[in-house]
Amino acid sequence: MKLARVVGRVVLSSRDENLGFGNLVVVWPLDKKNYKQEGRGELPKTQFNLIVYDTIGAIPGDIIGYVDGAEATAAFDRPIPIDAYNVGIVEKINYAG
Amino acid sequence: MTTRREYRRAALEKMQLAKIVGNLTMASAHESLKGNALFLCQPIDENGNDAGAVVAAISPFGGGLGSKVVIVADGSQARRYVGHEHSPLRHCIVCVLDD
Repeated sequence: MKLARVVGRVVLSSRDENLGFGNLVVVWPLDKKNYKQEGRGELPKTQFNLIVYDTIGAIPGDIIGYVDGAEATAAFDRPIPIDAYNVGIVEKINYAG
Repeated sequence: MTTRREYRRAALEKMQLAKIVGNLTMASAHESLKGNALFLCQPIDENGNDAGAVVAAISPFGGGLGSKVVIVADGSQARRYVGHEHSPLRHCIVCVLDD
């Protein structure tokens, strides 16, 4: 599970019926500098944005933990066209790296 | 600084040496995480410098700050440990090294 900060939301005008009722959020993966500042701080330029399928209701500004790749579909017992899934909203990061 | 190449390379490795660099508390999460501690692990190579993005892993064996562990990135081990066959957990600590 990797950490990222939610920076936006995606509003779909039409959707694949396999997608279910979750919403899609735009996230920016964090790096070590952000972990030191509890996920705050300037977002790393080298990272690229991901679109994460979210059923927990993350809003922009939240830090979330997400899994990407084929593992994202592990949380469902039906085929679902997603690549990244929001596992949870982070409350506190204790980083002593 | 996690470069894109490093980020992608780390995602490919299945079993990795890592160092516990912190822990994580979740506000609201998938029910399979209930009561499981999440450790922040920094993948390292054999001579100890960073080799990939920091990941949050669950740990059946505990492990303190700075201890060396081996993490596995395939979800089946994590799912078997939490006992939930649809858990989205992925990284799991499989052993704590004592050197």
